[in-house]
Amino acid sequence: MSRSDLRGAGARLRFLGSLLGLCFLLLAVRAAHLTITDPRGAERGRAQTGTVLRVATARGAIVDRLGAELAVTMPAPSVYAVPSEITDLDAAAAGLAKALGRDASGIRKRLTEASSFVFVARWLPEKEARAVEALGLSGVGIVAEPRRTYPLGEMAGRLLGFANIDGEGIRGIEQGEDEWLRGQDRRIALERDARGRLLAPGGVDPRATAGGDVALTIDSALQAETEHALADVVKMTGAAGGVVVAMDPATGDILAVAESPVLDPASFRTTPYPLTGSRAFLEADEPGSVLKLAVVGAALQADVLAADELIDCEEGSYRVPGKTLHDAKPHGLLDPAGILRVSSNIGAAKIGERLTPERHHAALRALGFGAPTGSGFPSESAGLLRAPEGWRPLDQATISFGQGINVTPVQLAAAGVAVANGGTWRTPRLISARRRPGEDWVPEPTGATHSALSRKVADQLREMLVTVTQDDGTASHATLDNVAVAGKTGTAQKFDPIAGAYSNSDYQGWFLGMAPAADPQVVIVAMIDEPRGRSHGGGATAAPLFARVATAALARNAIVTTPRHDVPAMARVDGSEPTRSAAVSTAPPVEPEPAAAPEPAAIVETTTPAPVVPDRPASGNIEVILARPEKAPAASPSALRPTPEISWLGDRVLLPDLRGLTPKQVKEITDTVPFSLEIRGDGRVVSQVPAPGTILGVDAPLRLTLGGDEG
Amino acid sequence: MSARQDAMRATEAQGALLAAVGLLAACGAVAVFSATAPLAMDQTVPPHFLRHAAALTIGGFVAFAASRLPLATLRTLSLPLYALSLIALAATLGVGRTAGGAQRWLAIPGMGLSFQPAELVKLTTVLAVAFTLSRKDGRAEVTGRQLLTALGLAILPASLCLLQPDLGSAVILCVLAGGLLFVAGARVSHLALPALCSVAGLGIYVALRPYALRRWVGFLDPWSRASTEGFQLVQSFVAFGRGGVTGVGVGDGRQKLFYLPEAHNDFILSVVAEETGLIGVVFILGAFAALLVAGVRIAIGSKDRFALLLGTGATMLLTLPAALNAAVVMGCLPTKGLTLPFLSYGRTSLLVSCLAVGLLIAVARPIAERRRR
Repeated sequence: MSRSDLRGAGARLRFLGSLLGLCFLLLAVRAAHLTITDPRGAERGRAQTGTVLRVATARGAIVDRLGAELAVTMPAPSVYAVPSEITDLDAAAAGLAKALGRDASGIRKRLTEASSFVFVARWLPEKEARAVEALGLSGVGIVAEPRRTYPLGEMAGRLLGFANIDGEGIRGIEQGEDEWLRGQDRRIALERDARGRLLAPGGVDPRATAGGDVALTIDSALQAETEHALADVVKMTGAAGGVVVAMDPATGDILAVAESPVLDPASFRTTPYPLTGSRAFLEADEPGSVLKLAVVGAALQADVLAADELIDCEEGSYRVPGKTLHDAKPHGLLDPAGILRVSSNIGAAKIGERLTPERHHAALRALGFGAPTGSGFPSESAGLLRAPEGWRPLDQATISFGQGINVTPVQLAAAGVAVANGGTWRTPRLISARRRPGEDWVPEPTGATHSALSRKVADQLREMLVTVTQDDGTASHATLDNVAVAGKTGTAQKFDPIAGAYSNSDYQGWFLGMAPAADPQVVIVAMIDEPRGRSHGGGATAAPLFARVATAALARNAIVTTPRHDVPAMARVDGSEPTRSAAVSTAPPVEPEPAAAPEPAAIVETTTPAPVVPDRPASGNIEVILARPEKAPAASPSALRPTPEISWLGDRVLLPDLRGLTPKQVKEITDTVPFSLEIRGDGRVVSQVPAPGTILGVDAPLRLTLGGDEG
Repeated sequence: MSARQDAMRATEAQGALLAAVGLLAACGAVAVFSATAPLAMDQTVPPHFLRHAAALTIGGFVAFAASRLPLATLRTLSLPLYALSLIALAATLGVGRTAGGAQRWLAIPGMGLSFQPAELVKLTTVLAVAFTLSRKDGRAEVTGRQLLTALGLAILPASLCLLQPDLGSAVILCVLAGGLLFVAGARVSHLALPALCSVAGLGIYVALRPYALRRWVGFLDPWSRASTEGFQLVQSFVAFGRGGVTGVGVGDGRQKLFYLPEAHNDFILSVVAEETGLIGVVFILGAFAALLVAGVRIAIGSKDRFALLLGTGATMLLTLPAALNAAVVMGCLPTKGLTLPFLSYGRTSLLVSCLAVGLLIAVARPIAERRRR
């Protein structure tokens, strides 16, 4: 073996090694190209692993103006199965059927579906979910799904509307505020592996992206009382339904919207969609004579009518081109207040004649008719107000007394607000505040306002409307103890679309009222649809309903009063005598009460209570001073009140009116609800703190003063 | 050149070799851990990694044992070992286990293990060819008989490999034999004909095998066939592209999550590229280059023809598949099914690589130890 031979081989090996080394160098260059200068790899990488996950958010809550929950989203357990992981199919089906109380064969069918994930049962009660969990089945699991719940059930159901199973608001506030409540689906950039599995970066907290909450202007206590009153009157009068809208004239806040029939938002899947709407916002009807206040106001405002002038009401028969108008009773000379008091069609038509159609139309528009009010309720109706160019004299005459014009209850209430607060029309407000998750409430600004009437005209009009509730007025049943009421009744014949004419059997009774008349704290529109009693007019049906709701509404402002009248016997389907409460029984409905009726045309000054009550009483600890304790209801032994029903609002209680009850009856109630009771005196209950209609938690302090009648 | 200098060089080369191999083995362990973690389901440590680590440990002992073998013994054993491994390779065609569409594994009875004779055959072929070409009577040329014998020693196992089919191993065998013949002094003109024949045979083979043809097509234009023939290659490019210069971080790669087929095996370099970027790839290529330099120096420093050829063969056995594998992964050559020594998961390959390192040290040791005498 020679050295030179090895040297030659070494040289060849060096050459070979260099060649291979060059390969490594070229490969490094290639690697640099692929990693740095060729963008295709990185682009494709992003495209194939990147994915955007939409995280559904927890829908925000709807609460009332005091924070009581009206609609909340709760996690509800649902049972799912991964069919491929189920080991013993029969045992699993049998176990689930027993735990869920359902048919085993149906569950078995689910478990054999050719899917990687099936829901066995959704939105279960906690107890059933725990029973399923206890089975410990492989391939069966429980997942919490968000579920919309309405803690107060049917209360304000039509106003709240509902969200569908996908969490989209499709009616009412749920629809109108959907964007806010739903929040924005959070889009999270994530990656998936090649088998489609998500590479989750540490989990995502859906609360971080939850929708916002809204606080309504609704006062739950008043809402409950209003709904109760409406249901009561609808039942008494045999009516098909009704609507009550209560507004605060100072702010335009809608305090209560009661509707009959009610709607349970949770039942949206079993109720046809058209039957789930809110009549207060969506349906416009002819308001009848209520609208006479608009023509009087418009004429006063246009200075074509003086408050003290007399108008000839033609003894009940007046010819306009096309038709002869009639009044219910013939009247001679009447001042404008008198026309409103007796509700003279002829008087209203003659006042309307003094306005040009344009002017008349503009005045109605200024009061908010013919356009949606802008309350924010979705798809709010504009009502029907035709353009003045097409008005014939007969049209203007009928519009003057509320025919040929359709208005929604909310429009009418808003017009009432303008009359009540000195002439300023305010956008009805439904939302009082909003908050984003984890932040504080931010008050919602009040809506647009404009001047509809001058202060002088508004005050004049209100003075006239007080006379309507006098004993000879059409709205005597709207009166309250010690508190003057201004208002106007209306009785509309319903238009029968099949007959193409006004019905002679179907009516709507309307009342627009405000109290106290001198400085209204509340404006209420009440409408009773198709009452079936002998008397179907607004004065006999809607006016007493107003009185009840006004009593509850004024209690919020520490004005204590009671309705003087109940629904009269002639408006009731069973013809029974009004014996609703001891309080009412002290004020016989048919007898005028001389002491409480001073000067007919003057506004009764209320005995406004001394203490100033905060806008938002936080709990039930506000002491309400009775206006006149000595006049407080002292029930006669013959009129023993039935023990009131307890209305539960979730885990709280709507405090009933305990006045007039015996200690025994009080005990019946406190046996059911453990209030921390404090009783002073003997006899029957004469006053209660907190006031009726307050929503209380159990164990809340309740102070009762007993006295008066010892027997 | 004094013996003392030779000894120093050999010692240095030995150290460089061990350093390069150590680094590669360490990188390989990390890369296998990362690449097989998605396969590990809910286990903390991927079982693939545990098996790889066990093979590496055994490989250490194998390398040490091989390094202690006297060259004369190796010379004597070269042909019997070749024959044994050839029998094992032939046996795979009869009783071998099939995986991935190729019959490459031979079960070791009673141990529940299996190995790939093709990997071992590469090493025994190097031994046999080195032995053949070193039987020489003073002339610095390769005789025609030697040439034919050497070619025959390579073509026989290469043919068996093609039958499995295992094109990569066949190509390696032919290139190894060609390289050894070149270094041994065979005339380039003598090598040209067999080389041409091999290329032609390769062309016919690819044209006749549909799957081989698909690989060829996927190699030519991977991007326009990114979801079919070019899928694997494009996914490899994605790994390089995502990695950039510094990589996404060890363990943070996405391509191993079932986007890249054979991520822990033939395409382990893509995982390295994604997780450690260009820096990591260059580091690996550099380590192989260092291994190449050290191996070449060990071979050149040897004092006899068998040792030189054995050193050459062992060096080529370690670096040639590395270059080919890297070229495949980076789209410079069509996919072949070659592993990256020390990095790819594959216990037979790892053990044979360790054995090759042991043989290189066996070549270097006598020179390095001469200064102590």
